[in-house]
Amino acid sequence: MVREVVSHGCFDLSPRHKSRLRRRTDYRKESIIFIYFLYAPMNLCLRILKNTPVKKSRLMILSQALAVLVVCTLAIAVPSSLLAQSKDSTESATPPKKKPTRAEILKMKIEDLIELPLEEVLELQEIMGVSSLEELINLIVTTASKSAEKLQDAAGIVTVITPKEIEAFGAISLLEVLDRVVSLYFVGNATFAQNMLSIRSSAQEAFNTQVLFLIDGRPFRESVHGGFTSPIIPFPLSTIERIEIVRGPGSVLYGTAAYTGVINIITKKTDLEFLKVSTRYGSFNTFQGELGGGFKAGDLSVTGGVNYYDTGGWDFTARGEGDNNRAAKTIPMFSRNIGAMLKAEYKKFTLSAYYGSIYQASMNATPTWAITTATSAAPRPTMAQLTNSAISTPALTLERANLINRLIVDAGYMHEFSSLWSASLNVTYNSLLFRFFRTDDMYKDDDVRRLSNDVLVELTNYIRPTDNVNIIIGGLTNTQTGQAFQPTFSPVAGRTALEAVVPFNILTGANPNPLQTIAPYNQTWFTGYFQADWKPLDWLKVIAGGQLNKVTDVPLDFVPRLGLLLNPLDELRFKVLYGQAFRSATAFERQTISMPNILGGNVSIPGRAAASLDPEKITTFEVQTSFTGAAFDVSLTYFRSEQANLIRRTVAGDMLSPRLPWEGTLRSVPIYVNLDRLTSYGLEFEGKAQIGENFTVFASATYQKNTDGTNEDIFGMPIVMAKVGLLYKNSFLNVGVFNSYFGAGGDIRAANKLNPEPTGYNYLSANITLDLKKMFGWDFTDGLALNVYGTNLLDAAIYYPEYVRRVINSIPGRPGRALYGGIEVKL
Amino acid sequence: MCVAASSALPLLMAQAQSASGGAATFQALFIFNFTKYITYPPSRQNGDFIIGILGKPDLIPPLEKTAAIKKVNGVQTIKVYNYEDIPNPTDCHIIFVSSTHNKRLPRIVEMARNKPILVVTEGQGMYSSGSGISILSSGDKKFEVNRAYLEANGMKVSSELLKLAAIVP
Repeated sequence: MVREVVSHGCFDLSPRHKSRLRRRTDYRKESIIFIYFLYAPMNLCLRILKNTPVKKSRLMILSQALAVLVVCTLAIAVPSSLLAQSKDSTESATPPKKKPTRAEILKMKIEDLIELPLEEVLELQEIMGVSSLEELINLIVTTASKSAEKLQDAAGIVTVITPKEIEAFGAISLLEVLDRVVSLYFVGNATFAQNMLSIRSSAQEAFNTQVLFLIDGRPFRESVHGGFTSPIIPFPLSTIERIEIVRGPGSVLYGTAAYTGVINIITKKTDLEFLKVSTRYGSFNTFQGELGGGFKAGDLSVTGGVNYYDTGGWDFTARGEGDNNRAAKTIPMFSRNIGAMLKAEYKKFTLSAYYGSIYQASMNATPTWAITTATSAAPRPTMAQLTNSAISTPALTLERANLINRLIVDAGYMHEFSSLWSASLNVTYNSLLFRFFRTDDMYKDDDVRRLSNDVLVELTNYIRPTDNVNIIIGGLTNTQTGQAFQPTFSPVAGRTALEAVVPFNILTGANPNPLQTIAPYNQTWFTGYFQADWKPLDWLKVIAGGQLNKVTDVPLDFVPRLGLLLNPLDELRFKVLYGQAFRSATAFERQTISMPNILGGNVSIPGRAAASLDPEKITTFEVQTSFTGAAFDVSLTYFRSEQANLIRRTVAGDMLSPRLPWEGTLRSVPIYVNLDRLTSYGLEFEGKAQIGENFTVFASATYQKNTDGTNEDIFGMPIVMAKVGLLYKNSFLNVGVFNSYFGAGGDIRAANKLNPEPTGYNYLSANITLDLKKMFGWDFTDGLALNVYGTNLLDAAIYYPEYVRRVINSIPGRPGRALYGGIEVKL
Repeated sequence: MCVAASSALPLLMAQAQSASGGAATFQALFIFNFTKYITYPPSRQNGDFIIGILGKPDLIPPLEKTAAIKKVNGVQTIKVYNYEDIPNPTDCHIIFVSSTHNKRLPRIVEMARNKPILVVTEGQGMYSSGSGISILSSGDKKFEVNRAYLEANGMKVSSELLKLAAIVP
């Protein structure tokens, strides 16, 4: 059309004028599209903000959400690139030099490349995306061997998350980042939201006792429950250098609870000063602010960050145990989260600390309501009504909340004795304070209070006698102290807590003599470990290792690890791994007398001798094959795990539950016992591919089956998980869209189906970031970016199976659709 | 069956095109380019220009291809060796130390002290361990150049390279 007008004009235009006119006409067309594109997402956003019911199928909502993302991208990218082109063409009539494509660069010969000046080599490298995909393939990891090695050579099945991926797909918390990793599955129960993380195992407990978190290689572990890890969730993401996720046993190097996986958060080492400030606001009255930075002065470098976010709360609507004839009750599932990290390095010394705190609404310790509703639904109370007695209404309030504070401090020193031998000494302190209480401030004491203080001293030797042999030998002591209280009861003088307690009214004041549900404990565990790898041939690596551990009241135990890495071609690799891991019983599992809910496995009950709890043990066999192509990396992993001596909580009424003297035949109090075996097996696929210069695709899938020999797939885990992300990135715009599908697990055989049945769900998130300076060229916006982030864009109704007690079938798991807008500044 | 399936996929994909050496090629290009931007003292401007590679054999083939075509300053023939095979490491002009071999860096730096030997490493902050230039894998700048260290050891850095690099400390 443009060409026609020009050719029929009354005067001939020069090629330069023709070009300008064509561009102007194109730009008018694009402007119309641009306005339309602006309207579409605004319309949808308004509908969401007005809470207009969307009576469409999920497919329609999905397509609409995707359309919004695409139009947002185009609305920003197309006109701006046209503007940029227009600007370039008016400045110079010479057409810009065409940049070679990735495929063209791949075809270039070294003879041509060495003629280029360094600047052009750097440009080509950018186009190649060496800094994304191939960089990822060549990543150095440290978790699988406590030593630096290439990801592909690591003695484990490892996935790495880079800061680029975190930024590209967006996240308010670490949970959303980990949610996107193959085989990772977060759930929560009535008391602790998202506290349970499972990898290739079951999801039947309230505490994350099978996946060990590390911060810069140091264990983030407490001794009361061994699994109060949710305070890691607000970790300041801007301080993360990378996250290494090892799926499979990790006890040989990391001891108890590195059972089905290890997640190592590695923070940035400050050599170039940086500062990042970001803030967000959005759905459910959610606010987030994060500050991360680092500086260097001489030999001292300091990195730190703080992440704070609170949410007014999504509607948590559920019926609790005993609510068979009552309507569901709704509370705002509010939370306040703080994560603060600081790391200082001076020569060979390192001092680091992380403090994480989560204050969140919850149901009771069992999934019940403190104040039940009438037969009709009660109005939703506000957060203020829940926490301030002056404005509360008893019918609405008196629900509970919990506070979990965790602190880890590590001091480390590395000494190099020679080029062949170096050693590190670390002293790591972990503490926990857990409080469970009524949200209403009329109450003067906690319902439950648990705390621990643990000190781990570890010496690790790194020996490299030759270039193809690497040996790690280490040992540690882990001294654990702690105790727990239940102020709603007091002990009776001269009687044991099991025999008699009396209720205490915490409305009247703090209980000066609260029931001690875990007596003060002070125990030390000992561990010695080694791991060696030998590379006799370029294409072969052999790994062997083992750990001896001595845990209180349990005989000396040993777990081994063996591995074979084959690298027949540069692009093709195989890993064959065999290993064992263990999880020792925690203080709570061994000795709690938590009235009237549960008893520890070592508690002496009349008619039943105290029994030691053996550690859970898992034996895993894994085979992975991976292939790296020109622009993609894929892997396929088969795993099979056999778990024995599982430390299980019996359920009320179970014949395994003890019969307490005052109960008759009721057997209402569960107890921890070594019980059952569990076999898990499945396939995992992971892939990353770069498509053209701007697009990257991430995909993974997991198929997993669980059986205890009698039952299949009643252990809380999805049978199928599929996670797919698409990333578009140019010089000023980032659009990341990620969908995680968590399939349904089997029926947990709950006694009462009072809430909606848990089903599989899609969790779609999208993140759009626009760099203002790079887009508009405004110098005053240097480092400034605008961000829009959305989660659960399909508004999926997400319910988790209530797997702890199995009295009711489910509880609400996650909020519905949420949108956030924000600004970030990088200096 | 699952094991067989997991093995079959990459075998099929092995038929596909591969250029996993891309990153190595660019690192080799960087190392070669450093020879253009670093001026050695006159005593080291004669004879072979020796590059030792420690821990990353992928770099040797592209550097050898380069050596077959190019000379440093048009006069010095480039010789590329696996670092372990060099009888006298002090003959090196450049020693590249892979990040997997950082533990050996202190000894190499000690050997190179007060000598015009450029130690090239990977990753941020390696200057604190004695590196002269470190190749970065992320961020706007692709290199860290420890200018003071290089000059103290008798090497001069071109301003063109400094423009492209983060100058540390």
